[in-house]
Amino acid sequence: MKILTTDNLTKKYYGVPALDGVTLSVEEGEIYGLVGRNGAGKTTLIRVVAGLARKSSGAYSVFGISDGDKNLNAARKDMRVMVESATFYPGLSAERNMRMQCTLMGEDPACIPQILHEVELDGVGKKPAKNFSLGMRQRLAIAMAMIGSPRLMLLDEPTNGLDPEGIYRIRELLIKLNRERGVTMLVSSHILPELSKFATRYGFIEGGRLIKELTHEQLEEECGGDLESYYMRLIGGGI
Amino acid sequence: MKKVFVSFARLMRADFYRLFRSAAFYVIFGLMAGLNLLNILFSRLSNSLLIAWEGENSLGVVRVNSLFADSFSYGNMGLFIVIFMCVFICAEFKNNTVRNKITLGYSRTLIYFSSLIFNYAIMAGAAVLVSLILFAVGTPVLGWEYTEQSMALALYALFALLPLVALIHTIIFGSRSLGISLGVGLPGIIVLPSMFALLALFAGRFKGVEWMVRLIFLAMEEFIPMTVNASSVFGESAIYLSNLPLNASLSYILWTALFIVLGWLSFRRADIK
Repeated sequence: MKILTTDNLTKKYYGVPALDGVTLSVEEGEIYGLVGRNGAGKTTLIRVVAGLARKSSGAYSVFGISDGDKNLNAARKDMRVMVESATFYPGLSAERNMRMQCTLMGEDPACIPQILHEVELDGVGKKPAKNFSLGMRQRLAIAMAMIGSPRLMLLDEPTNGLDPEGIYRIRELLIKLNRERGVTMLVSSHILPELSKFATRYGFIEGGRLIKELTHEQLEEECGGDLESYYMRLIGGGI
Repeated sequence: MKKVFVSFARLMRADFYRLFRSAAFYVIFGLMAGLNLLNILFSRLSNSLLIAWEGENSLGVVRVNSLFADSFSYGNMGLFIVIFMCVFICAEFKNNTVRNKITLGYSRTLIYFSSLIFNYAIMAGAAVLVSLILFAVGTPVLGWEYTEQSMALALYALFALLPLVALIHTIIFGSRSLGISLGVGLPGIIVLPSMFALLALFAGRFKGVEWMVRLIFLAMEEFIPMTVNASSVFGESAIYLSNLPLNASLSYILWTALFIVLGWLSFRRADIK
């Protein structure tokens, strides 16, 4: 089943296309890696699908519900989004931020201790989230995304700026969510070797256009799974 | 329809949860209550001087009732509204937490209107609380002066908060920036009456534009009760207002509706960072 599709999706800022006729689809259970340089359109694609930015033309659908359908907002309740940085109330503790999220989602806060334990934030007590390290913030964002039963996660640079241990923890969390809960993911990342460790399919964006798609198996066949080399060859940078 | 109410209730609950854990709310409300209490003390001081000089029947003697009217009508409440709303709502945009609401499927219309209603409820609640403090403290200090007019005045003041809350809400949702909202809101609330007075003065010099003068004074009736320079020009505007086809209440409703629609349209079309 196609969880997310875009059809000729375009977003222009002041007449300049940031996203230029992108057509892609993400199957249920996939981890779809979006690859592209800064300003290629990865974040814009996520922002449009998440409802944060208005499309200029084209169409998209989430869980089979198209963007013109009144039921799309209701469908978004099964979607979680993390764009560029984690979003939370800095003055509130991890537990209170989770409670806020539970309130917004109408979920029972009884799940909070278990989720905080899973992301290894159960020992932070009442420390305000503004005092968290970058890794802790990202884990809090993922913890908030784990509330309820998400079916789709849109993650923009989830490991950006993290140290090796932080990157490892986030990766393990995402793999766990995908394998144990069946959460489909669309992940954009600049850290290509890292992305190739867990993505099952890749889409390459350049100048707002999707220039290539391939599965992890195809990547293995073509260049032994070396995503970075493949990408550099693709954009003409060659190694 | 039931789904809309459930979503609305969740947004309101989340806002209340954040409000009661927001230091800014307690600080700003404490300052407002403190200012009003200071007003009582200053009034007592000036009353005792006036009574000593001019006797008990001096016109300048301040009673609880007039102080109560002042606290609602001039300065304090307007400043409180601007500062509190800017700080509280802009935090959603500064921390990007408004994203959470949108990406969880809350429509922008619902987010906008729940925020508006929540903020009006808080402002009205704060106004009632301050008035209770004023009566509780002011009565023994300045003398009890409760009349039926007091209650009518309180209700009217709560009603009169509507357009100001709607205007500030529109500025915030339009700019989505604390700096711009405070930058426009704070000077606006202080200089607005002067601007209106100047406009009226200017328009009044030309024949055939009396309608413009009336419109300006209609605007003054709208905003001046909430601003600090109100007392100086309010009496003058009343003369013009007495001839107006629209009464003040209707003008409150019209201005409120205009601001709400402008803010809603702006937020509905905006790209959120």
